[in-house]
Amino acid sequence: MNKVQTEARALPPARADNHSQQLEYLMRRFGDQVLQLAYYYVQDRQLAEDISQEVFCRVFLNLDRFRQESSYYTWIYRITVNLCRDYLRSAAFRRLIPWGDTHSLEKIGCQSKPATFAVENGEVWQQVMALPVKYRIVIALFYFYDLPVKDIASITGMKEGTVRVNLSRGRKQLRENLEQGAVNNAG
Amino acid sequence: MRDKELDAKLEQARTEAAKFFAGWSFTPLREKVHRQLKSTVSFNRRRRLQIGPLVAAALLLAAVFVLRQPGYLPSTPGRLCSIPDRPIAQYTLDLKDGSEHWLSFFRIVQPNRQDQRLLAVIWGQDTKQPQGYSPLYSSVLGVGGSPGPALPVEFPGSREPWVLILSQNQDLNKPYLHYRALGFDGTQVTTYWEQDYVPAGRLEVHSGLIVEWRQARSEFKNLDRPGQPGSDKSDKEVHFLVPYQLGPDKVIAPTELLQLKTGQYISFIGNEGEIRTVVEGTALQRLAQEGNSPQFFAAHSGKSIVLLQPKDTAINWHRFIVQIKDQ
Repeated sequence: MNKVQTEARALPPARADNHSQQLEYLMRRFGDQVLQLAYYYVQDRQLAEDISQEVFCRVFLNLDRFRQESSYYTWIYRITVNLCRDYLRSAAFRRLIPWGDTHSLEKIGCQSKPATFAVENGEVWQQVMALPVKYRIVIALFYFYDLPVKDIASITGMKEGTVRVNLSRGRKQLRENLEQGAVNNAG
Repeated sequence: MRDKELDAKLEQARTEAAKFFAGWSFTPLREKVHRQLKSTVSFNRRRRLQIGPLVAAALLLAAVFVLRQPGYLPSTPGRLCSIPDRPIAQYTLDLKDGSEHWLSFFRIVQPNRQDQRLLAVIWGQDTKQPQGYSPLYSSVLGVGGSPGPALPVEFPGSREPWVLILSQNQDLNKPYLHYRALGFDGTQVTTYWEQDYVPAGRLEVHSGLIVEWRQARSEFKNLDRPGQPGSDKSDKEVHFLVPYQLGPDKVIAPTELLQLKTGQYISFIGNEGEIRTVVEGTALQRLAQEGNSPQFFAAHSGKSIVLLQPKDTAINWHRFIVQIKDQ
């Protein structure tokens, strides 16, 4: 059992009177991971910060409803993933609504990612971040968060079989991308 | 690549991720969460007021219903968090006119958008207002970013104080700079130059000359056409912005001599529509004007002369000598 799982089960029960203290504990314990998980989803730091704040607003407002059936972290991560999905859905919707020409500018900006950033941030990790979100998230949760498939399924709302398929396909695509990158570098 | 090798790569990615997130912390956001919650529900009274949420929800539904009727506010999509009622940053502005000015930045969300932008507001002293200040200028900057203090743009003989206001997004995926060059004539603020989404942008002011650095965009590169914009191999674009003002009898500018390298850009920014520009020599190539600001590209090494001729013939023109060297 990893560190997150052990600590998550040692938390004070949800019926504790002081919800603000409980929230404070959860933010200290899981804040960084929630922020990073949101970033894995939306790949924008400011949005990730906004989403992670909203995650803990929702955690606080729903502490009464938390039923100890799952660990705190699976519950909090599930809220994070759902909020990120909501955001991506709303973003996709937004693209249908013209609003000046700023979208095209944003697109240009996204394409002009400086090469130095790739080197500074790590080539392999950049390749993970370049994967489609369904693969990226399961790979991040499995390999970087050390979560078992069962918990990933609970967090993402996928079946365990789907998580395994996405892990396998994500690995396959990552392998191809890394090999392709190696060929390009050699050329 | 074998499975073991891929596993090793993923272990490497884990280390790289840790490095990437090393400077990230949720700690400063904790206070924001508390503030957000305090604005919606009282921490200590929440559990006792069981009926409160029902009443609040009913009132909210009623308010939404009324506001969505014709003649009321347009509907807006749901937000992740509410708009703060206080500026996220506030700076004093020294406009050299003896009065006090403030620059405030607010985070806002526009209708039909969910991403946050910064609204910059400049406040001037106003004795007619009870609070003593009224807004002189406002502008919505590009998406994202943190505000920065205004940069003064000063040069000898300047009659009108100029400032640069800016916000910068440090996110590695969207490292944009958004900025405005503003002049203040004592009663109103004029926008002389505005740019949003400058990729990996940086600004410097040297003796009244504004220098903008940005990441070159590969899709605009023109490597096989020497002497054309985008033909240089540098991954940075340098753009000189030369402010000018019309005095009673002459054009006032920070300098008469400008030294550029090939591939760099130069624009003259000032009173709209009140000057004509004449270029002598082929080293400097005229580009399409950005607004009313004439823009040029340093195409070849050599020398060019740029004349700023006021349409008011009572005002003397200004001559710039532009020396261009190869990169």
